[in-house]
Amino acid sequence: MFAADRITLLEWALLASLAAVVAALPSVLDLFDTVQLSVVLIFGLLALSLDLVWGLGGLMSFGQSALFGVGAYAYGVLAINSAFPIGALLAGISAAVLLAAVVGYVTFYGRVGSVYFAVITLTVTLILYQVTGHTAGPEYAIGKALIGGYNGMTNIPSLGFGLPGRAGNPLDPEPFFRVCGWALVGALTLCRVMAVSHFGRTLVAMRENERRVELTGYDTRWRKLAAFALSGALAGLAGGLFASWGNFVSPDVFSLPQSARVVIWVLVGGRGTLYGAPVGAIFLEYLTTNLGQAGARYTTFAMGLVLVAMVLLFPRGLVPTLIEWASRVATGRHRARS
Amino acid sequence: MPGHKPGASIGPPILETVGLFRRFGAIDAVAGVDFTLRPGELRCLIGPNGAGKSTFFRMLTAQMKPSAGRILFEGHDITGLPPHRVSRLGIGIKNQTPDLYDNLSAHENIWLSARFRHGPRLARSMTATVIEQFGLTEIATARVGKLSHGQRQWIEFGMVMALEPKLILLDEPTTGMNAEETDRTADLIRQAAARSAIIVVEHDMQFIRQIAELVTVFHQGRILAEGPMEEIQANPAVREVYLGRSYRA
Repeated sequence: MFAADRITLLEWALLASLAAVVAALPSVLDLFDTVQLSVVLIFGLLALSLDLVWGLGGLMSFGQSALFGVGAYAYGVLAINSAFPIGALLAGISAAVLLAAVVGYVTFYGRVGSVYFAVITLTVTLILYQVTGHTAGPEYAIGKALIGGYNGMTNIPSLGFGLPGRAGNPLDPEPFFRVCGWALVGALTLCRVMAVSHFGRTLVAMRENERRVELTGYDTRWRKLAAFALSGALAGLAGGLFASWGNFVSPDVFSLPQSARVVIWVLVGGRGTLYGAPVGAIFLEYLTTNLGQAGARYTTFAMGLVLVAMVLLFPRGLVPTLIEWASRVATGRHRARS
Repeated sequence: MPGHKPGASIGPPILETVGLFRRFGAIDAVAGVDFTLRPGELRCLIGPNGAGKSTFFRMLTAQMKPSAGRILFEGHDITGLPPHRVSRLGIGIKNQTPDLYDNLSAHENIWLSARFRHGPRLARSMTATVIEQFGLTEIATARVGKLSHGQRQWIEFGMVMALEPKLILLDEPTTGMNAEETDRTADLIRQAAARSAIIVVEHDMQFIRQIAELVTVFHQGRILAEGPMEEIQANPAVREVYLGRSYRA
């Protein structure tokens, strides 16, 4: 179903039906689930942004939550000051792309190894945690927006489709759910189109053997930079939506557990298929929420057990393993017929 | 002489090194090499272990920077250029251990080379041609990580050929091959020599006799001798440091 060099008709049909499911779901779900699932979809988008660089390009980034957080803070500051949430969302995307471009430029053009890329991205995240944490007090304000230190930034306006100066009504939970879902499906489509393009296939080749890609004549540096910047755009978009969803953002988005969480989503969902990362995020976050509701007092412990089971049963992640089973069944049938 | 082309040894050099030098600590791995290759030439570099061939090869392919000296390709100084720039000028490189995309198919491996030089349509037909020429049809869809060492060597050679390079640099292309595979590789190299200049670094004397036109002998970081194979085999200094030893063994 997922070819490396083209998007099959079947896959287009799958993407279209995912978009349709997103459109239909809010009428089926109750309000609480709609709101809960919206943030799960946002996390799916964040997971996708990591699989784009890590799964396709082989660049292990611990900094997706930094890009996410910068997107969220930028959205918050601009939405509070401008009453133009769409502009704020675009600003959030731009801020994350800019951060990704700066970090990417320094590491890729400085030719530091891939291990250092992981370390540098993690360091940037933790620095942002410290910096945003130490901004309590009225002197740390950008326009009308108080950064708020470890308490976070509050009263962030929800997303709405107003024009500058004439803020429209904030979106209700149902349309907001659809925006999040379509953003995820749209980003997934975009990433798949990119993955099967010449650029995407070169990116995969860089994951496999960067030296051969260079010996072929491809400049790997700007390709890594472009991939990381695109990943920044997706993470920044997710961050902006997140700030709009909760009307709140705090330095916790830059914390170590949050950074690790993104990596775990992708590991559980499976690297490299692009579909796996959102599946992992949605599966784990949905599970966490429901464990919490079921009154499990040891949610973390239960999650730990789930992770151990996942690693044992699906060492390559959910989606790649399922695809392999499906293709084994398909070829088995094929053989039986012939 | 097979593969010999008229005019192969006249005209300006395609590749030239001037006083090429590389030092590791107190050891001069390559100690001032002046080397010249004419367009269309097929040259073998030989020498005992530690003679500096591999270091020389790595500098030619921009995988190592010289301590001193210059490398000229078609008259342009390419010393210190990054590997992708060197490749773009028309130099195709095959290292000793195959550099492949292990989780991708043989077809995808070769396509990524063909597509670098050509648009989508030409790249597709070029990939098909190379797969046919290198006898890879049956394994075209196989994951290259699972293939044998010999097959992997040919896939990489095919990737280099798909770039249509003016100069091909091959480091020990027959390592790990049996006699039959070695013969086939010799054929492929002779075919490639019809279009490109080639430098082969090799240990296997039998193989060198099969393909060599001119041979350059390295010893202790310098060029010890240069000439046709018969002349080199008769050269007493070469016999002493290299052939002599392996003949006695």
